[in-house]
Amino acid sequence: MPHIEIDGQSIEVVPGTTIMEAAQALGIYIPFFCYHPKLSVAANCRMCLVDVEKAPKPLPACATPVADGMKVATASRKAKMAQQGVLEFLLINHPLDCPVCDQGGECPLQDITMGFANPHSQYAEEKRVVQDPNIGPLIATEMTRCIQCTRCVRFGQEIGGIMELGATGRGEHMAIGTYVAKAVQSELSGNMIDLCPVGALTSKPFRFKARSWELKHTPGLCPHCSTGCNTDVQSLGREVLRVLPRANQAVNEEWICDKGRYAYTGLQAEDRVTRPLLRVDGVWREASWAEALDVALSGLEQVIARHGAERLAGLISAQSGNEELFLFQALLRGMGSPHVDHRLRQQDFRADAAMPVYPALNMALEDLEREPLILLCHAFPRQQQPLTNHRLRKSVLQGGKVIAIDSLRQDFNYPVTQLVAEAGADLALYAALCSHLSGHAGKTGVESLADVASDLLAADNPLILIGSALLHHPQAAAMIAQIESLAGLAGARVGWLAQDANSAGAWLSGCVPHRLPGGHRAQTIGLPADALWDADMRGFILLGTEPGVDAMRGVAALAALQKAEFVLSIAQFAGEAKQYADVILPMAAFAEGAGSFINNEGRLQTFRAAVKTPEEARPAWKILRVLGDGLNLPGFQFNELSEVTATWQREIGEYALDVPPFRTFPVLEPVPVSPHADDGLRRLGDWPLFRGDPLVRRAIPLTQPAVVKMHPDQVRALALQGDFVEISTSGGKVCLPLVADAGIPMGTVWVPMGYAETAILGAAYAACSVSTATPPATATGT
Amino acid sequence: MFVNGVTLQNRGLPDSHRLSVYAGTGGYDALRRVLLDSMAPDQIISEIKKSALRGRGGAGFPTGLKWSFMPKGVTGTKYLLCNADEGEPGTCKDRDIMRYEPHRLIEGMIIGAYAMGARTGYIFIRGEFVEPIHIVEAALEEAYAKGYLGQNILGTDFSFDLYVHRGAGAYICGEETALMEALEGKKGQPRFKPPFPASYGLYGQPTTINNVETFASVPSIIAKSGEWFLNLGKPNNGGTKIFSVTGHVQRPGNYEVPMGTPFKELLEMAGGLRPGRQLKAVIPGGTSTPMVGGEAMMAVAMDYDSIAKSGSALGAGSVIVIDDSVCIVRVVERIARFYMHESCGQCTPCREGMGWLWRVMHRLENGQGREEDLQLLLDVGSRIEGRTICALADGGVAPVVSSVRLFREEYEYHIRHKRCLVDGGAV
Amino acid sequence: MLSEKSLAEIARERAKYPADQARSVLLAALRIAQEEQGYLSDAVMEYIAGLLGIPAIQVYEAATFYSMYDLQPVGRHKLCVCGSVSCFLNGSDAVLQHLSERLGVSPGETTADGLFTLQEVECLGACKDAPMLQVGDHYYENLTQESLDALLAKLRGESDDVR
Repeated sequence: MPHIEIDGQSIEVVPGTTIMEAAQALGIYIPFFCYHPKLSVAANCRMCLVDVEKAPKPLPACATPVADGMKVATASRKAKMAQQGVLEFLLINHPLDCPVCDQGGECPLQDITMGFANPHSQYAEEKRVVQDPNIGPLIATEMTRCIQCTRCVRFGQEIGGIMELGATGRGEHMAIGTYVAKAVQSELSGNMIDLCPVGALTSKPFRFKARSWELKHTPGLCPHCSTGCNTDVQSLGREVLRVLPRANQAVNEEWICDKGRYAYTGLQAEDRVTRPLLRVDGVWREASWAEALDVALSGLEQVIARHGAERLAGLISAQSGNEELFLFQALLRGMGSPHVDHRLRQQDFRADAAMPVYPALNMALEDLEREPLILLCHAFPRQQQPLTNHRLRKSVLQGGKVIAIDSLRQDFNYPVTQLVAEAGADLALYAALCSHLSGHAGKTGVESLADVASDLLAADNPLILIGSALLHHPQAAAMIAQIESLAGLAGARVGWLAQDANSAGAWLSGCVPHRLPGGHRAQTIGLPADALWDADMRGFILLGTEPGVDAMRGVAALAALQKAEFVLSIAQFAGEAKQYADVILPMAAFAEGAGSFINNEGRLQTFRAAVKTPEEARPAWKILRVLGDGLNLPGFQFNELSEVTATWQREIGEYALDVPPFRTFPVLEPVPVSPHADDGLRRLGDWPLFRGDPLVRRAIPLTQPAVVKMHPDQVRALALQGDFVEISTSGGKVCLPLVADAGIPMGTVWVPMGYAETAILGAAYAACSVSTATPPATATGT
Repeated sequence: MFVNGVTLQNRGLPDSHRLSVYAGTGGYDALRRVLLDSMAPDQIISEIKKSALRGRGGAGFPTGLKWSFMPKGVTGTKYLLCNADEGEPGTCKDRDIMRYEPHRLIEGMIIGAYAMGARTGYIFIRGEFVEPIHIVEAALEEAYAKGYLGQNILGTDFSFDLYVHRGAGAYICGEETALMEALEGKKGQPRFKPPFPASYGLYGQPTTINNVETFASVPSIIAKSGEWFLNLGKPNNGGTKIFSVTGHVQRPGNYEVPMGTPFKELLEMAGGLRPGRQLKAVIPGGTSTPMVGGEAMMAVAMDYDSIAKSGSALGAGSVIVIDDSVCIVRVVERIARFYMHESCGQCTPCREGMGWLWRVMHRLENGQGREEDLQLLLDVGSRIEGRTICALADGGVAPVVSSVRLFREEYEYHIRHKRCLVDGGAV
Repeated sequence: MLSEKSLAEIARERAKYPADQARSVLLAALRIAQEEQGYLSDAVMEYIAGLLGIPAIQVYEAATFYSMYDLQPVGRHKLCVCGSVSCFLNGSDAVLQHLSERLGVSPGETTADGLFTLQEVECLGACKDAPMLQVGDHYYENLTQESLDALLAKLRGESDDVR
């Protein structure tokens, strides 16, 4: 192993180590801009030039591999002259507008200038001015500040997986930009802001909001998917102004996705509730907590008194913390209702008994990078769990293989072998793959099924990951059963890609109708969410959810809620609740409360409040405690969150990180498949990246209008004209812009869920028809 | 006009670019000897080493040594590249080799490919050279038709495919790793080394790259021995060399002369200076090499070692002659503009420094000079030199710094009088 | 987007490079597209990106890096006058000025009739034949005022033939 000396300190390092890495191991700082440990070495900024004995010229520490006996001086006269020279060149065309630059105070160029620059520049010529491209609503550009380090370009190519930014032009005209002023599309784009060592790329929503040193930093957790990215929530006074990644190499490394970064902007939504609201004679008014609680408690008591507790149901978001999930089910079950659930997007619950204790990945996120063969079952992690997807991408870049089975061809940012079901024939595709694996396959319509089967059989213990979209399918249970057989035939392990930040916690805490905290079987099994809409429920308690857009059958949900005698909504936002609720209790939103989530790996992570709740809003656990107390239920006497946490922990007990992916399957009754409409189309749909929860739906910078996607041949076959189409199902019809997309199979139409205007269409996979439409004035979506 | 040339020996013959003409003067005999008399690859390399042939593209690296770096027994394709991206101001020799003797280049490459085990080769010709591109492409077709290229060359089990790759306008692609990037369809930005092309070149495979003139020297060396070639020149400076003599001479042109020929003789060959003019300065190796004062130059011999002793370099043999009719500040301003235009932009000192140097030169030339500018040029130059990935920036500094040192009074006159010292060069 | 002929030419160039190195044909594809269409429009660059299966920004990077590509329409004849040192020493400035006067445009501009674009370029590698300029595929060397005027007349004549 090479033995080298840097600034008189000795170190032995593995061959191939660079001077930069060796220096960092010794705690010796060498200034740099273009170097980044997660990116390829560019060696273009030249800031890290050091003096290497016997080398005639100073060498870049980031790119120079050590050689045995090498003697390096990082601060000799030769090194310093080189560093000062480079820094002067970097500054001659930099505007030095630090007082009006958002990067000020957290700027490597500023810091390194303070530490290494010669204070006197000899530059007296005119400075360069560079035009700023508009690259969308998330990233502000000020390209005159750019030092051409190309970190952002390399990020897109190497981490983001789609190259959108490039260095165009030559020489001093080299500038960073997109291809013809396009908004960047990468779901990881915001990380380029963090990587930019100057103020060329800054956060657009944060622009001119605060100076970085004024901000309070609170360690946070991202509430938007099951990866559980660690964040640094930055606030000023009562306002969250920025969310940045907090490095945790085991979870999110040093990245977060744009949803996690920008969803906080939804906190400023106009319909944020900050005081209890009551509907009195059809009119909403603010109320005191005492009055609102009175109305809430008596409303609940009346429902129970008139109709029995079995006519009362509770639905909670799996973005809620463990403590809240636990108290929520305790409240419902304490009142005598068995109907508690968090799975609003599911429509087939026949496999409930077979579900694991919680949807566990059954491995560490980091280990995904080393999987040689992964089969994704109706999973599109690029949209559902962007940083889990990053691990899969790394596995592929290192020679691993990913195969995906889905209802449509997805836009992965790495090579994936995709098996796409014929319209609605998803179950048949799994069955066909099983036949291939067991050697009983006949001829099937889907190419490469045999190849996939032989890949699976050839692999040593491949990994199957079940995605949340599978659970949204009307034949989910039968598909899960097929996957169990498939796993047996292929000798594969199975993991679940859980949907929400605390899906695991929701299952473990008993927020499913058939399981109690800890996964114990419930004495009385309640109805699952989707069944409630047709079950003549008289009372509902909602927490953090908007069934009108969060539920698979949003319109049916709205109808059931409107029909109910009493609805209590504990919510951050009023929104649709004003259509059906009687009481809205304002709860703490993202960054305003404390608690804990369990991520997809089973990792228990805690977060605390970064800002105070606005006005009268209260943490949900406190609201639930008061309600339980007011109903005289036992076990609600808590003063501190830590007491709830302790009780929750006691109730769920020790939970395993590796759980059997399936319990025993019940006999599955077949479900009727809805008949095709005349033109034989089936509506596909799932919740897009930025439509999955009430907060992100309100984040204006992340707003994307709803569009319909169809195969271009399908568009031609139906002779659709113009830019708009009308989609009709048995539920109703909607007019939306049309986008041709060859990834959508023939015989299907893709219409997103999670939009108020598409809810009318009802559940995904239903029959539908499409016709040419003239655009309505409001058809651009919300 | 030129005597005993090696790489341009057929230039005077009609249709010298045709295979028949080349073959009629012994062309492809060396290849036959190598393949049919089974000359071992190592033997070829040792012959090249004996010849003391040095890279004719500018760096002057010993060719035989370079060839010996190519690893043996690697999996995957090894590549052989020819650098025909001739573009340094003053350099116009490769164009003539390609126009007049394309087969000499092709034969040299085939021999090289055989010696190094390369299976595929590309001749990277600058895109502006449309005429040479067509000539080389036609020559390749002839060579394929004759069985000198392709599968089982001359019936042996040696196979080699050779193609032309056209550049698209960037001087930097003459830097060998930038050329590889351009061949891969990227911007021509030089790569950091290590790794070197011999281990990680085109498409990440072992690659050797030589200049047109270097390859064109090979057939004669193989045919007549390394010793013969060495003896044409002088020790460590073997062979003949084409010097492109341009600028203020009466007969600008390519002159292929033995290494070590006195500059004085070369100048005479080129018709000498224009009547009544004095030699002011010479850039002996292309604009990337430092200027030499006229008087000093008259005593220099044209070989690598002698020119190095004079404080400059032989470079690509591009001799730019500057007489006393022109102001040196104007000349250098023009040269500085070239380097600003051609900087690829990746390394900070070059991207920012080339423009800085030109701006100061431009100010000086336009009568806006300041007393401190001369020191500034030297300071900025010293901050650029040796601090970039490739040598372009060093080349851009050389004419500026050398001219400030040699012609300080001319610069100072410019600053004080806001005009040229030379008649006719008024601002 | 591109003619059969151009696509066939791109395919011929493509065959020079290994199967997994489609990007290598990028410079040739841009040249061929420009020869057909006169300049590289955004649409044609995006088309080439699709043809080669590479991100559009990589096409744009290359198109803006190399000096032979025109991203804006140019005149039928682009007169590229070499202004580097050997040509400069032999009167390239006078060549440029002469053309500028004859055509009534400054370097970088196109004549109103769309016939000529005048440009000063860096070294074209014909230093011994200075001063020189390039028009299309051809080099015109050892230029004098007379030979420049003859050249302009010849190019104008060619254009008449086309019409």
